[in-house]
Amino acid sequence: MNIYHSIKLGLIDMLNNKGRTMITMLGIILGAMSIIAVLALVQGGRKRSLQFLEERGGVLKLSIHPKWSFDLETRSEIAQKQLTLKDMKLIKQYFPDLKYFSPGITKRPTLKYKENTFSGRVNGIYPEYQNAENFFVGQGRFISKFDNQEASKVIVLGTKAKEVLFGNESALGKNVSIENTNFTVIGIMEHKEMFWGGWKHNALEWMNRQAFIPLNTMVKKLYGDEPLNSLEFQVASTDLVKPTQEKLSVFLKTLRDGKEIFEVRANSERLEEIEKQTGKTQIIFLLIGGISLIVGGIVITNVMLASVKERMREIGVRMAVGAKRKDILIQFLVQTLLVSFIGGAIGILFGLSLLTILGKFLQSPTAANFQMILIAIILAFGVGLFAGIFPAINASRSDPIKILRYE
Amino acid sequence: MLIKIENLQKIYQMGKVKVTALNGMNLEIKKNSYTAIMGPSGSGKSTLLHILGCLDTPTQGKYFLDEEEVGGLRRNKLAEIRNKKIGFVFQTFNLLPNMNVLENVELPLLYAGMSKKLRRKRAKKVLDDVGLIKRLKHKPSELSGGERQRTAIARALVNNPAIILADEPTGNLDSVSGNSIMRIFEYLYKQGNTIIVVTHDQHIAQMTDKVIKLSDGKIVN
Repeated sequence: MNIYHSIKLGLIDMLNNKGRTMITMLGIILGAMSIIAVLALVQGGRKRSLQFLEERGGVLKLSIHPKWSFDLETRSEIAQKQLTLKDMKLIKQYFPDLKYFSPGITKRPTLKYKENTFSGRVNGIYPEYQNAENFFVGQGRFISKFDNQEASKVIVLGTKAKEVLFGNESALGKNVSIENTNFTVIGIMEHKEMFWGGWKHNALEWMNRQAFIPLNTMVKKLYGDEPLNSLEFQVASTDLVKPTQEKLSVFLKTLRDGKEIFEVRANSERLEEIEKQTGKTQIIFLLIGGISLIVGGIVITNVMLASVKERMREIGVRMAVGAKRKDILIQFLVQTLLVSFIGGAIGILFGLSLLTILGKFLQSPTAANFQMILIAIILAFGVGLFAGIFPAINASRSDPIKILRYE
Repeated sequence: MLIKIENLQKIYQMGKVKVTALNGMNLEIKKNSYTAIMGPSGSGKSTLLHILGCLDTPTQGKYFLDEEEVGGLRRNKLAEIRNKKIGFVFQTFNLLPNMNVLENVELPLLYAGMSKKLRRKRAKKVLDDVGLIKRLKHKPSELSGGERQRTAIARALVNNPAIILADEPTGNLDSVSGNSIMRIFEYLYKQGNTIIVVTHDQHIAQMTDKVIKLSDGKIVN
């Protein structure tokens, strides 16, 4: 008795009882479908989050920020001990492996061009900003080392700032005034956008609403000596993120007489958070899909038990001509596995098409991969095995003489 | 002796009542013989046939088939003996309705583990012998009663069994079909087969070379 024969018998039986087969498969189809759809949606969400992280400077980015405190006294102390360019020089000296040091001072003045005004963040920065933030100029050029040294009055606009001030007009080479000082527009940043599922709102729009001038220009020509609002830089590789973060915290504490004024944040911390969240959601949804598979399994067991009863005569005849218990066992088990395998495959196909519809409807990215399909197939198969073993044993234990004597 | 039975007993437990179907039976059947088993209902004919066919096991006593004691064998071993040494023909044919004539006849060979090519060849040969070579692809429901029984005989013959056991093989057939089935049995007997038939029919009994009459689980002639 070979497997091929069992498969053939199983298929014949399925075709002869189409209605029964459909009902048997339903649970497995729904289970496999929900597993595929849900896993792909969760993975899609994860992919989107990672993309967002990449847009915000990537996983190699570290940044130093003043610590937040509810205590007023501590808060005023923190305000007095802000980060300065001098601190940056010291960090550079003691951490030679860090690159793209990008200090920043942020102000919110009003920009003017003819009658048009725009209020937004103006950042005094270094040329390294582009690499530190992973945010590059789209048109014209970015601020150069020379611009910074000479405290040139040049400005680079975000796409939104450019649009409000200039409309469709070309902005390059024209003058924008800030606090009655004229700045020449030398570049327009690339446009940033990202839409979370279904939202009309561009999650990165605030980046387009910025403008950039050299840090030196901001200090010397506009606001005088000011502490830095932020300091960003990148480490060379991901495994250096954690150790650098720890060493820097200690270093900054030493710079401020052992007081914890600053915290060092790493983008990769968000990555861990994303992975953790994805993992949790995935397990919850897998459980839900698993429950429908189990229900499907119970239905299969039921139908197979009925089918064994109905086919007692056949079992008796097979045993009379020489079928052993194991032959009968295999025959019925293969049939259950066939039902769950085909059900699983249909469920996966349905799941994938459901995904396309859901993805469009929720405007959410989806990421189905081979691994998920494998998980769904293995689960469906496992349920089939589990559901089929009892009816199959039941069939193989029947006594041929008792069946045939019924004549 | 092909078959030798010593003091064979079969007792069924029907609820709280014990029913003695066979009560200390002794019997010998030679190779290439044609035997009829007769007797009223409840005399133990079918039980004897089932034990001879290794479908059932005796409660007591010994059963030697081809010099081998098979009375107390395990189920898997019995299945093997049924497969290799016994061909069954039932009153109600017992063909599998979803399979065609050829597949039904191939079934014992399938369980014997024979290759598909060989199975086909053997099955076609016996189907030719019983005159069904033109009906290979028909389902049992598309056949007449006589054709169904001939298919069943082909299935019983296909593994070259030591004995052919038939339980009222003409009981569900009209007289013309019944006669043609009996002619096939006679032919098989003349070819050297050993046949045991359970029957009520005197005409059939007359064709055999030995009649065993049963009553209350005992041989009475």
